[in-house]
Amino acid sequence: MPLVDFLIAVRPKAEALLRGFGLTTTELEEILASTLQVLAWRWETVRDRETWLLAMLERRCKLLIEARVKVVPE
Amino acid sequence: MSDEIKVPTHPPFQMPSGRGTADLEGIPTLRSTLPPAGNEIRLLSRKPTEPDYNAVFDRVFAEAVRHQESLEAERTQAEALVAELRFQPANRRRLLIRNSRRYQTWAVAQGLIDTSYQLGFREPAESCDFAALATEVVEHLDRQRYGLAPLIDLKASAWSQLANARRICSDFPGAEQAFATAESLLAEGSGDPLAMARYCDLKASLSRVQGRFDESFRLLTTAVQQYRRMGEFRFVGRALIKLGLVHSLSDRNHDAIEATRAGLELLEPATDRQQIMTGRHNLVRFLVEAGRFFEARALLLQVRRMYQEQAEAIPLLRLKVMEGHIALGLSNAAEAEQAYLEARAGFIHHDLGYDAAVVSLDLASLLIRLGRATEVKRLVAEMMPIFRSRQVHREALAALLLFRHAVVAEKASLLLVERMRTYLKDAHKNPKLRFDTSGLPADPPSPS
Repeated sequence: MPLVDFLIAVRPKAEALLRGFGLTTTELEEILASTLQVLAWRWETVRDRETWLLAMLERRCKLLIEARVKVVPE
Repeated sequence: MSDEIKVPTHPPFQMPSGRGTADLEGIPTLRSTLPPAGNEIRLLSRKPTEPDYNAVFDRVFAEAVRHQESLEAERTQAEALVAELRFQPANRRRLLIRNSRRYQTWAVAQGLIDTSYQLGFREPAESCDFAALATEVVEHLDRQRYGLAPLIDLKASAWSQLANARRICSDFPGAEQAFATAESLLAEGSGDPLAMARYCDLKASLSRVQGRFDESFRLLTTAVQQYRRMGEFRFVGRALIKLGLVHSLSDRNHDAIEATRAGLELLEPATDRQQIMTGRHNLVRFLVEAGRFFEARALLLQVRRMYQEQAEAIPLLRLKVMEGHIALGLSNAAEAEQAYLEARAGFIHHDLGYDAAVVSLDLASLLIRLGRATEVKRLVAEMMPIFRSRQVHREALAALLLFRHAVVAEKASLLLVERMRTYLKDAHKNPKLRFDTSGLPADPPSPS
């Protein structure tokens, strides 16, 4: 499947996942762009691309939220 | 109040000018939102409570499509460049990757890593050199073009492969060092679960050959969980086959059989031929050790056919030893003797001293059972000159001398033969290992 078709198919799930984390647009762009870049390179080797992409996005968001919690003063 | 904000574009997707013409036909949202030139994008009228995700998705997706197209061209060029390096001497390879920008691409680095992995099965020294080249190429890559996190992932992958290649070349301290570098890089990378799983998978092999079976088991369990979670069942299969080996080395034969069988079911014949052969060969051995000789014999025929198709001479000799064990298990001593003799002659022909020594002991064990003491003495007498000339370590030679003395004194029991056999297998990987002489006749003849 070409990347463009994959992105169209996966977009609703990715969007729902990312909205759940309440990211700013800057954070969204950073996470989405860098993750898709890794996927572009792994395109031939990742079999289940949807699972991979959603897991990567979720992990990146969780790390971001954790980092936010750490820097917010009491 | 205007809610206009400025957001920097993500540097990894800055494309070289004039490159990237993705076919966006039929996707108006992507086509209409290709990012403007420059380093900043203006997002208008964003509501703080509901960020405009649509615009970001459109823009980033469009960039990803264009980016992938340029990568495809890079990949195509890299195949020829990596193939070209195979025919160059080692110093020339380094000159090329340091001085020619054609070689300083992600695809070349990835190609070197993949080639190193494939060479590990047949040409370990070349495998090491290609992995080392990959660690050099990644240092020349453009961070702006490829992005920081993916680049760190790639560096980690190159160092993991170098560690693996060094492990195959028995350079265990070098492998440890390379794995430490890979691990610290992974902590800084994108967090790709598959990259982590791959690291655990490869490191488990080092832990295994160093005798740290619990660590190897833990690493493989982590790798299996990650691969499974990501839907990479082929890699689950490969890791399960390695897990089978760890179970076997930890004396859990039933678990070894189960894990190997489960692993084999997940492998794909088109891409995993080598792993299928290894897995089936291991399974033959585990079945023999479990005394399930009929099952082992049926499987052995399949493995033999695969090795013959690939003209794999040495694995065929190791399979011949299994044939001997199976024949013995099925009470066919003559067939077992013939198989051991053929394997022994083959190992000597290929200068594989330890393998020849171990199968000689299998033969000695058989002859002792048959009460053919004179032939045992002759066999052991023949062993010494063969092993002196075939890379058998000093400690192992001393042990063989002690064993010969026991045979001459007619005090070589089956238990002693088994102890000697186990010792030789371990001593092959640990040349300093000494043989436990308890139970052997006193005053052996001094080594000549």
